[in-house]
Amino acid sequence: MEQPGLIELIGRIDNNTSSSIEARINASLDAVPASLVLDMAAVDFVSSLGLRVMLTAAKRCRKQNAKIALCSVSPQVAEVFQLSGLSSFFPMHPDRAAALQSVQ
Amino acid sequence: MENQTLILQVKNNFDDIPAANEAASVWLGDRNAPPAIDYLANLAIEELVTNCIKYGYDDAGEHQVQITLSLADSQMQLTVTDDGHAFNPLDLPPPDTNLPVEERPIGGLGIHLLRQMSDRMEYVRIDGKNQLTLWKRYT
Repeated sequence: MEQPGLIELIGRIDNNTSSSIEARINASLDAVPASLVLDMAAVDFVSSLGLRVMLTAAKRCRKQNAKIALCSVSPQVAEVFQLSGLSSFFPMHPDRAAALQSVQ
Repeated sequence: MENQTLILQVKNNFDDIPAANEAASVWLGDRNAPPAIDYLANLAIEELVTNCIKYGYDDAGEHQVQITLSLADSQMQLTVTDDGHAFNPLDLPPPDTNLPVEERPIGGLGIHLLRQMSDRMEYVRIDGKNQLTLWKRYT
C-alpha cells in the first residue's frame, strides 16, 4: 500500500509562513492524493490565516476524498482549532504512528 | 505585583508584526506569564494589526498602530490603538462554526477567536482613533 503523505510543520503558521505551508500541503496532496498527516509537534502558534490554510486543505481533501489527520497538537493550538470549529474536520492523534495508521 | 506596561509602536506594514510579537513574548516571558497569555497576546497583535493594515486606512500613507500591553493582579490587558476610519470589529457577526467543511467560508475567524479566548473585549472611538482592548485573567 502507498505510504501516507506526511508533513512536519515547524514554528508558527501565520502571515509570514502560511503561503509556503499551503504550497507544501498542495504538493503533498498532488504526490499522494489519498492521505495527509500533519505532524504539529513543533508548531507553537496558529493564527486565523493559518486556520484558513488548514480549512483550504480540508476542503481539498474532501473534494478528492483524501484522509487527513493531525498529530502531536499542543494544547494552545488544539484550543484554536476547537474554538474555530475546525477540529471536526481534523482528527487529532497523540503521536505520528497513530495518525499515519488512521489514514491508511 | 505592581503595574507593568509595555508600549509598542508598529507601522502599518506586515513586516513589522513579527518583531512586535517577539517583543511581547520576551516581555511576557520575563514576567512569567503562562503560555496561554503569550498565545493570546501574539494572536491579538497578529489579528488586530493585520486588520488595521488591510482594512483600516483610506490612504496609502504611513500610519502608526500602538499596542499597549500590561500585567497587573494576574490579569493581562492589551489595547490596540489606530488612526484608521471608525470601525468596531465587535459588531461583526460570529461565524457559523457548525457548517460542514464544503460550506465553511474561508476567513472571519480572527476576531471570533479573540472574543472566545479573552474574558472581555471593549471598543471605543476616542480622539479620532479606534481603541480595542481585551482582558484575560490567569493563575
